[in-house]
Amino acid sequence: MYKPKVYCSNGVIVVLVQRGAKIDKTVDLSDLLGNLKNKVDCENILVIAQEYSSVKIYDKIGSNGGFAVSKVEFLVKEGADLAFVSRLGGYSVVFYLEKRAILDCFMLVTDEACVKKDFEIVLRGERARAVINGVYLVAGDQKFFLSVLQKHLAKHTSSFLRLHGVASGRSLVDFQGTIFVEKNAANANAEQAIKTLLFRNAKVDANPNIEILNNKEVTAKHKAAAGKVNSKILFYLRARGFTKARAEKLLIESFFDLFTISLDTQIKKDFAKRLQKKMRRLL
Amino acid sequence: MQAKKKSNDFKYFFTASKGLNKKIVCEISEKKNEPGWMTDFRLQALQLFETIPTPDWGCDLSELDPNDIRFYLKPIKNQQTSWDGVPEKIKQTFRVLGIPQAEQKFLAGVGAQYESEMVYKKLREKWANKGVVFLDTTQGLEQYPDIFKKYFSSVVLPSDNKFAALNSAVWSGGSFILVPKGVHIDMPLQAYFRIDSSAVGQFERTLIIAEPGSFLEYVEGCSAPVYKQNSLHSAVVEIIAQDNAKIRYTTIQNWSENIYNLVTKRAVAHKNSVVEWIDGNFGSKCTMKYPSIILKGEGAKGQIISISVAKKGQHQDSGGKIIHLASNSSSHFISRSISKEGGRSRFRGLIKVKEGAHGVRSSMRCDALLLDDSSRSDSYPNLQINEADVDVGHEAFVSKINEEQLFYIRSRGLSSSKARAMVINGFIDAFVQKLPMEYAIEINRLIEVDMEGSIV
Repeated sequence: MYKPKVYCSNGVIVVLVQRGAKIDKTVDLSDLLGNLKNKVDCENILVIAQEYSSVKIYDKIGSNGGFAVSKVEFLVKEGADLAFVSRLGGYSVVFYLEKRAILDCFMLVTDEACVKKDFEIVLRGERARAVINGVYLVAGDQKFFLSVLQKHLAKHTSSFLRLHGVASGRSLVDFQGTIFVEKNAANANAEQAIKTLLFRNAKVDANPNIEILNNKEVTAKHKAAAGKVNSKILFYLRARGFTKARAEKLLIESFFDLFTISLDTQIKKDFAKRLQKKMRRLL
Repeated sequence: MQAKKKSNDFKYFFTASKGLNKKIVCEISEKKNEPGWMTDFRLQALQLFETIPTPDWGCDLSELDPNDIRFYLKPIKNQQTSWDGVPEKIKQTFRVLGIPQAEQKFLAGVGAQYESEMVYKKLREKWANKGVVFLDTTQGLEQYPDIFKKYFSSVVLPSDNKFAALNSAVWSGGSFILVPKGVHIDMPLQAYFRIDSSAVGQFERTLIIAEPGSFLEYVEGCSAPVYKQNSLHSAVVEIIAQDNAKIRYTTIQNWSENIYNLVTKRAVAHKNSVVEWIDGNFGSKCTMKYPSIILKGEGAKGQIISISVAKKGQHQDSGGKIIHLASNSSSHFISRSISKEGGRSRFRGLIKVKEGAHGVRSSMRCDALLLDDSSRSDSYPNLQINEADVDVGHEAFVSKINEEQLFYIRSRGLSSSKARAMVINGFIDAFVQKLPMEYAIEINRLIEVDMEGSIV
């Protein structure tokens, strides 16, 4: 099986997927970097998906200990296809998408500590397309700060961000989202949607912003919603013998299902385990 | 389109010198024969104005120089209750705007402010007999000192922002309205604000108190001719809706393109009361206006419907704030903006749910239409939810005109420009529906004329 090339250059770890390479099996980023782990002192990682390559990367960096980076950058070149699944370590992420590049990203936040994340998606090539889905569970005194910037610099680009989350205890979800459409990015299509289910004394601060510079052929949407679980459905389930906690759990699972359903089986199992563990604490 | 004017040849009763200082503030207070506490209030506010920095967000205010502006211009000695007493020049201005005609047909009362003072104010006898008070704010202070002192600046403090401080220092004109318990005024009250000179400031202060179970609809219109020099309109509006009262405050702002419109509007809604801000921004060089509602009493309801049209050289920075302090309060927020010919529209919205406010329901929707390549639209909504037991949502949509809708209308035989005007009228329908019929027709016409030939 083809393996991406990994090397260190000027303090940056470079993961290179060669032109035209197709990797069907999901690549674990920490496995890839395993050899370099103790040898170099790098702060950044740069993943380059060369033209017309296709790769799926699963990332555990930052959460498996011992290997902390501050920034991970992805350069997805013309016609390349990148799927990135992240448990969100302690670093910021930037995606650069060139002509006809495709990004399919999924993020999961179940960590216990406070999480502060910066996501930037720069669509700089024509017809580049990005889909970012995410799920988060925060509880206790946890604080989750997420900032996402979808930057459209070229024509016919599209980006979709959808986040579903649950906040419980005295936790706080702070979301700063921006859709930015540059002057020449005609026919751009962008969307941001964040939905949070609230339990107990949890708080949400959502700022989904849109900035459109001088362009009429643009469609941009954002949605933000926060509330409790639907009381009618809860009542329906309880009338059928479910306990309140069990009914709430079912509703949360279905709330997340929309996004997790398309993941690889192994990753899905891994995520399901983490979700269950966190949910036990949450409810 | 208003024609460019060189100067206003009208002879004013009193004209303050340009610039802002203690002397001018004291002069205004003295001319109005105000009690000492108001003079002190003004001077403290002036100090705040000098210390609070100019906002570095929103519009570019670098061209606005207070030293170039006259802060007080009194057109006539005494306010009139009959149009016959109003000087011909001013009367003609308001006649062209259709104010006396509207008064006869469908208004419960009318106030007309020319520069810094109300020149005309009249309330129909029917409502005066029911105890409704509709006065110039200065008269309100004179005739109802206790009520005035109790509520004045209770909703908007001078320290709120730089321009609230400025208004507090130099306020003049505006309306003082008191609707007694249980009185439903089924016709709107209207105030019209006109700036007719170059490089002046208009700082009206409006205070509305709706006692329990009362109802009031207040319509405010603004306009000015075009001058080369900039003018400033910086009003403060305070509304108190007591238990079960309902207030609808409608603004149709059509200032000329040399006016900075920097306004602070806020309402407090007590138990089961309803406050509605219907806010239309069509003119001005720069508008920064975010009408707010504080839902203080249980079951209070708030609604903001805001529409703004940003044309060439205009920056419409508008939106609103709804703050839920009480349980079971609900709110609804709709904003529609249209940008064309290089205009810039910005929406800023806030929905805040404080801790302890259970069962809150709120929704915010802001949509924007971009009509050409040189215009810009931004949207900055903010949801701050500090209570789990709520249902809050926000949606926004920015796009160009829907081609399918255009095609549908054109296939029924209408011209391209007519079809576009229809789509835009449909876009702002939520706003127009809330206006009294006469205004709705006028706004539809205004949009139609405005949009003609402007959409590519």
